[in-house]
Amino acid sequence: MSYSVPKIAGESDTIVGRTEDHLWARWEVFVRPRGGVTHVYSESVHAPDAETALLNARDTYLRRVEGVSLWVIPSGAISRWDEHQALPESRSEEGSARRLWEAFIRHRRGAQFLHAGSIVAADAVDAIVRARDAFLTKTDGVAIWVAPSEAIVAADPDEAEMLFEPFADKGYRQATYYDIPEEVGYM
Amino acid sequence: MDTITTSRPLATYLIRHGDDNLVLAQRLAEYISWAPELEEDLAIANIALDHLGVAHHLLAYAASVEGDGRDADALAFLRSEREFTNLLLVERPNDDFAVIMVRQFLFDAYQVPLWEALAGSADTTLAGIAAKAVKEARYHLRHSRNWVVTLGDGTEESHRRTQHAFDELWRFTGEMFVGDALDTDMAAAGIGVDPASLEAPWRRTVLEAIADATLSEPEDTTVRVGGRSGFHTEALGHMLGEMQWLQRAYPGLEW
Repeated sequence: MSYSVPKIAGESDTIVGRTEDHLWARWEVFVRPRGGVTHVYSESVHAPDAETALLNARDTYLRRVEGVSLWVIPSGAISRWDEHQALPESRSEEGSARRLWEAFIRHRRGAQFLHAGSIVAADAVDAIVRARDAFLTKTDGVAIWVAPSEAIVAADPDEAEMLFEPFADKGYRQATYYDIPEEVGYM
Repeated sequence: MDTITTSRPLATYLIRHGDDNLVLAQRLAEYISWAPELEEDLAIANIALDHLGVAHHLLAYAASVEGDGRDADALAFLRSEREFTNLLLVERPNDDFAVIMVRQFLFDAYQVPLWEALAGSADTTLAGIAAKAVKEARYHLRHSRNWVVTLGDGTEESHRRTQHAFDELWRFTGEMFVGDALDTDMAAAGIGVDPASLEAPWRRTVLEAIADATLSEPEDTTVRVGGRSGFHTEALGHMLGEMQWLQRAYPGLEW
């Protein structure tokens, strides 16, 4: 008997809930793993809104890492600096409206960005300068991201049970769950 | 109408709910690689695995209660269409993305109060399975509700398709709340739940989402029943053909 996967008529020509350029916005995902002390960058997802971004991030990045907290940040809200770019030597002293920023540090090439902490700063460049002064030592840190704190969309702690626990006892989600026949050798 | 029974009423009861989850898991798995976005494909695969996990727990427990030498795999792969006791709703085919999400939403809105009630079951194994499943079901509901509202309150085309999905599936929802003698016995024993008691919370959840999605509540239609007695729509047989052929063609095959 043969029964193929049904053809979903018209799916490809229907565009729903996307932004004007027909692409969903990109969101950067940060997960605090169980036992971890800080949120770790986990790459990105695409989603039309914050709620969908959180759900997509959960389904994409919590399948194999057991997480206890989840953040998504619109990619466009993040200002980025790396060691090859010049930075002002001193902080901005302008007293105008300051606000809270979250700083993420990459400590060496190839490592993931880690949430380092919060700082009060006048603007994105000022936030990067202050993050460098506060969180980097001379021998440490090759890149910094900053985002206004209010740009962070965090999973509601009351929903942690629903978001994170279902992954806890599902060994079959891990590749190591499956026995590999001897003939296959190393994969 | 006949009722499908096994040697033990509890096993029959467990198989019903196991079948709901098994059949929906298979339906969702059919859709993998067809979702409109990669992220949604992963989400649907996750949800399918959640349902499969619940199905496995329930069918394995049913098999042990039954004590007839069948295991969960035998229940899943070696029963015929007529022996499946899932709700008709979950076997409905994947006509389009709106149907998939509305089918999921209508079922999630039922499973959340179902597992909440069964988490207090006098049968501690069933209570344990339900306590785990309710966390997953709450997430599924949040995911499917989000899509129902996004699609309903989206473009003209997505609104039309989502309303159509509700209209098409509505006649299969009444079955969730129709009990039979087994439901009455299980509820009386403190093991199961009276399905009628799940209708009010289900309606609240569904009508609120329909309003948020700018959709209309479908008109009352004749309620279709029969799944719990093994009388299915044409769609199930085709699905089982795909799902079971390997074990049917190569009995006992393992991988």
